Amino acid sequence: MLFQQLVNGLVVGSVYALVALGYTMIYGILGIINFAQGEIYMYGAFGAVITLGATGDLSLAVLAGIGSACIVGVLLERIAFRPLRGTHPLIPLISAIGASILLSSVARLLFGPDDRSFPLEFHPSSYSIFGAAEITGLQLVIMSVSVGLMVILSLFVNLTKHGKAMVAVAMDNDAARLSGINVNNAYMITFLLGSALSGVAGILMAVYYNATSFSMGTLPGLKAFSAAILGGVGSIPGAIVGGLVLGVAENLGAAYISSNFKDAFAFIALVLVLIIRPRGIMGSRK
Amino acid sequence: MLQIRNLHTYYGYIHAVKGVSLHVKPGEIVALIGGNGAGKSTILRAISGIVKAASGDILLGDAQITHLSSDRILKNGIGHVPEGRRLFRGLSVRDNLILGAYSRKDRARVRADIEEMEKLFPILGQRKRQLAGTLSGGEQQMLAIARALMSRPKVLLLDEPSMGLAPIVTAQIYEQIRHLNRDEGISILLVEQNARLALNLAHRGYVIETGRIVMEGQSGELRQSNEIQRAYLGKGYREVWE
Amino acid sequence: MSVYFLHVLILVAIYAILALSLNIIVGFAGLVSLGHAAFFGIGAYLSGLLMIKGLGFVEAFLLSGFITAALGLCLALPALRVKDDYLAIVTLGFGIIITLVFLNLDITGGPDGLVGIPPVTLWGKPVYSKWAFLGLTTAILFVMILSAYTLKQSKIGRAWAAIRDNDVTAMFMGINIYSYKTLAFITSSFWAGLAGSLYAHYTAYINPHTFSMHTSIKILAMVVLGGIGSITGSLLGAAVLVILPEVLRPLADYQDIFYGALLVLLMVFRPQGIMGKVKITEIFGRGR
Repeated sequence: MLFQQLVNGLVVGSVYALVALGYTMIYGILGIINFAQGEIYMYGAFGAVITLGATGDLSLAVLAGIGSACIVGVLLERIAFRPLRGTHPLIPLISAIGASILLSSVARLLFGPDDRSFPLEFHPSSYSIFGAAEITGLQLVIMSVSVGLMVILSLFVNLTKHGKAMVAVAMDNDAARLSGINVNNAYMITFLLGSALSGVAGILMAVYYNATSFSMGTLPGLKAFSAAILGGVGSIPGAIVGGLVLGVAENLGAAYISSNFKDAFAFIALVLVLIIRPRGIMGSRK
Repeated sequence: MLQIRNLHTYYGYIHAVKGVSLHVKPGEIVALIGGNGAGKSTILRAISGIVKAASGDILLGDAQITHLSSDRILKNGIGHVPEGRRLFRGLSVRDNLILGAYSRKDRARVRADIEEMEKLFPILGQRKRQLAGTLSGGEQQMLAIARALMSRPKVLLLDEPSMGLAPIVTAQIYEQIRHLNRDEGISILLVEQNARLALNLAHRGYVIETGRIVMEGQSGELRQSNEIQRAYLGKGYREVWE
Repeated sequence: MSVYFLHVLILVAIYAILALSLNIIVGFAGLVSLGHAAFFGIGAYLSGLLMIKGLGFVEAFLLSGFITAALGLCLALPALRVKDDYLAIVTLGFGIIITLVFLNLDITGGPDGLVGIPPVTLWGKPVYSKWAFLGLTTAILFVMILSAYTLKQSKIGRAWAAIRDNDVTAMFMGINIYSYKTLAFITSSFWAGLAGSLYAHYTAYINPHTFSMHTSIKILAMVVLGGIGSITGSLLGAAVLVILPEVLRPLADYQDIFYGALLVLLMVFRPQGIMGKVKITEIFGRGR
């Protein structure tokens, strides 16, 4: 039972980690808390669901989902954040909160208040792990996709010139500009990457729970943000660890303490970690 | 090569640079000296686009670079070693160099240049995987200069390279700067509070006080001038005017 | 004057108390608190339950204020230990947890809420007249405005202003930033609790949805619209954001779109709100 909960927690946690990566990159490089990250996730899911419903082509649907998420992300950056660069951090924060509400209520208008199911056939396959737990085929897919994307992102950031440029901008904006890095481009790439990851996360969760709705992003977004902080904001490995820890904590809490309070465990875990280690699990002293 | 005409900049409501005009000829080292807060660094930052010019022109060769973005200015051939070095402390020495060459597309030449830098500054070669933040002051200054050189600038802006460094280390740095100018032909605009060092190295100099140029000339003349000796070179009133 | 109009005025008064209480944390002390509706709810449920159990109004009213303040202290203790940037998410989490508590405890009636809350009683007699209730609420609001104004001008207010501008520097000035921030939370939650009590005894029925994150954001919008740090601003903000939905009732579906757009547009074009002073930087310093 414990092991099963662990497995379930890791699966959900890996998806939280994808969204948390978006948060941590945007916070690390632009210094803003993108409260609307959950809404980007939601639009990714809708892009995929609608396209799949219309065309029946899964690959196209996934691309459409990622595309929708990226478009929303870029619009968000242009309208709600770019004009506010250089202001006191409270201002883009409030703007992000407003954007989050705006985006989800527009979705409600466009797509209606009801849940949509994901029109996908799935073989209910299931595999046993050491006889202690079961993992379904879908869960395996989710975890592999998530882990795969995390690996690609890490490689990009550590090995490519553009990835290093992003890190440089996060470290010292002026010095980065003096090195010939176009900071606006770096911001755009950050938003695109973060949005793409959140979009994929949204699609994965829409399939997993077989439900896509305008409000599906709000709570996961906040939890992912907690995960990013818990793991050490600004740190890519931190976001990954944070997401996994949060997913597991949430599942264990729901299973052993109270399932009614499931949503609370994410935040309780956050507060506990921050009290013990204020910079997060893998955060750096800055 | 580099020309500034009647530059004005503001810091909020404060008129920081008030109508400064100066130039750097190809192959020259020009010093910009003056006290704290005189506006020297601001002029450099205006050249490389970090600070916006309110009015005036900045020209590199024939090209107007006044209102370009920093990365474009760099691509045009200006390298800037900022005050306090501003290295990417959490990145390795090598990564700092790689980033210095960010705007260049010629990958093979970049690799060759990195090796050249490591030969020019052997310490950097030895410490190439070390985090930049763990280097000593002098090593950091060398890395900062090397990083700026990676973009193959025609003009190098150096902002207080001697700051925080011991005299021996400063002498080494200055040797490197002299070499870069003489042997590589890079024009240099040097901002320094240490007037003696700057005037010993440079061909010409400008003296700035509260945002305005108050004196200019060949460095030899400036060194001999009574005012400079008294204000910046530490000679007492009696020594100079007796 | 129509009953409906009176009803709206009463709501304005109650939300004005709420907005002003949030302004103490956000505007005076410069902290981000996104779970304020939780205190509103705690005060409401507490006062309702206390009166149901037999206490008189005045006792229930005051007790709910003090107990809510105590809970504000409980939140402040862990919440203020984290970096300011994270306070937003911690307070938000707190709000979500409290909403879950309201939804799941038997004593709070679960998702159906609390019914049969006794009305306000003054000198033993229940107050049914809306006029009288409006008078009571306005009186309390007035007391609150006075105390807020006094606080702002006092040594405490000055300490808050210093903390708001740059808390590290304030620390170097010898200000115990932790204590002052905690004080802001306690004061703010006290008044929010009182507002909750008033609300509960006015509407006689409360449910968890009134005290959700959605309401927390609405209160924040009132503060921001009126002007962060401005007392009159909070009154204005409350008035606008209570009256407007009533006036635009046919457009109720678009309400959230309006809120979201309002916040974004405000921040981009006029972050200091209606009554705020010229530049937000003068209120908040240059930030980090």
